[in-house]
Amino acid sequence: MTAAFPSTLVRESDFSDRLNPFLVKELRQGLRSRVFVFGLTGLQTALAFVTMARIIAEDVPTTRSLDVFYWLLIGTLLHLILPLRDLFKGDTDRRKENWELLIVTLQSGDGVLWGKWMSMISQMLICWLSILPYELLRYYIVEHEIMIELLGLTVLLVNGMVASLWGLLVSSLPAAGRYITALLMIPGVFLGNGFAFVGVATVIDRIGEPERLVSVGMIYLIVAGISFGLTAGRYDYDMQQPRGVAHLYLSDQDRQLMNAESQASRHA
Amino acid sequence: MDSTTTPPPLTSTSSTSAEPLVRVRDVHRLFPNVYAVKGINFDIHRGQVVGFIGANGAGKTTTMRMMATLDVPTRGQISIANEDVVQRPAQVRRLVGWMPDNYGTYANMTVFEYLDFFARAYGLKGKDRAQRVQEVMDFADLTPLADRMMNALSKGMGQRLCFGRMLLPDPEFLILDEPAAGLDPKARMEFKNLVRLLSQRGKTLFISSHILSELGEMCDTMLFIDGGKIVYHGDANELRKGSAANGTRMAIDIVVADRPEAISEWASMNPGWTVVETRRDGARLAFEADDPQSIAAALRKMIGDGLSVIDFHREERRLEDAFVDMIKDKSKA
Repeated sequence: MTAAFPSTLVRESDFSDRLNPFLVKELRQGLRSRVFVFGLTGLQTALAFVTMARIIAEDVPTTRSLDVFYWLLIGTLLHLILPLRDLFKGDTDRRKENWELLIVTLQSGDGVLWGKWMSMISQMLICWLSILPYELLRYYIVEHEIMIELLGLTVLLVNGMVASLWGLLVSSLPAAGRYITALLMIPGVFLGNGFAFVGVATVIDRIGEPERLVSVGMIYLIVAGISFGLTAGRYDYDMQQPRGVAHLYLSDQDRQLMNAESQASRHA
Repeated sequence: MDSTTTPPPLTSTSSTSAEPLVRVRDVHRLFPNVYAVKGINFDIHRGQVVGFIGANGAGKTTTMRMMATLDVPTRGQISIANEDVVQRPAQVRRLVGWMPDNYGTYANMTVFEYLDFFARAYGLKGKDRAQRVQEVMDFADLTPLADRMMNALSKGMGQRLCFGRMLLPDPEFLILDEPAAGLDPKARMEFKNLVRLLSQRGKTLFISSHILSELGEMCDTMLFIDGGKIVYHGDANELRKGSAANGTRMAIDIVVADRPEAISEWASMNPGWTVVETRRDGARLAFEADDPQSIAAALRKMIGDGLSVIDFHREERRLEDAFVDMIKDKSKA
């Protein structure tokens, strides 16, 4: 053959061998995707603008509006754009022609889901980390409560992680179900987020009571666990193909038809 | 696949054996409102290249999908290397490579990354994975395309990529559904070369197409399916001969140096000959016998009778014609 081969191919061992194949694939695809690239650069540009405006602004209504806008930007990226990216167009892997190629590799459904979810979390984490310098600026220059803001950011990240599971579940549905569920889900994510903030605000008010924080954490774990279980169930179900059981419940007419064809075939 | 073992090289398949690799016994597939496969039976032996031919909707893809463990027969049994495709699909999937007629592309992914991903999914790790991906890329001539995005590939390149993906786990039995559909002549030629190379390496191939001439060149056995039933199982030459023996006449093109009308006159006086078409420099005749002795004797007689024959060309019977004749015979019967 002709062209020189990529040098990565001659390595004896590879760290990525320890990772789920889907995580490697999804990270390669995801970090190159327009949603991620434009989402991250757009967020950086917008946050730089908002933070500068926040530093300059002096009157209370303007600063409050800028704060709301700051959180709205982060929430939109971490809750909607990144986790729900495949909601309407569907997951490429779930198209029949791709899914069947995965079935024959003997990958498990929950393995596929785990890799895809970890990749989405990694991408959200990159965006989350890119927000931290602005938090430092807000702490040193605008004098915001950094601990409360970091807690708020963490809530957004965790909510985004759960939303991404639901996104994976819905994007695996057939088109009609996907559109209906997707339309119901977007307000649901905002609503869930509102409840989460209220819960966290309650905890923050009583920050001296760590068992409250543990309770909220447990609720998150339970919601995430149920979401993962439901989504993994769906993935595993689709991996168990072919599932046809029609041959076990044939009508007498079908049996007679097949008997006749079998006889004809034997004669031939 | 056991991910810790070293994958065997691409040239691994063992030699022939009397026991068939694939057994298909009385297989039916009944969908709601469609009876796609109607009690088919056939065997495929190790090392064979089998062409699976039929019109659209004849039951080719359904049969292949059942063999690839992606569909369940309504009745009957398919086994590959003595493993039942319904009872032990995981074992069968380790033996079978599946190339569908329509494969999906992934966005934001290069050719190398696609193969690397599937190699990981098949459980290959580290150096073994690297070697296998490189082998496959070399074999399918994908190395120059390693860094090209999947959605920028032509149809032919895409088919080669899909072909390469199928070879990653080094399967013993390869099922290819319409692999040459939509390919340009150059890509078809490349594809035929790949099939020939795999055949030389002892792989067993099962290839579907509705273009008979294409498979006639590649395959040593042909399997015709029509309306969900196997209507022919044998080699291409036997099919041509078989249809001739059933009363189909052989066409011979004859060119003469002078008086082309003399050929028609000669044909009308000699039993067994019929004029199919007269031409400016000769004629196309049909002859009832197809054995070399009879044809040689007829040529000697032509020359002996004074015809100035300068070209005598026996037309190779086209597989398409043989197939159509056979279908007609079957429907008459």
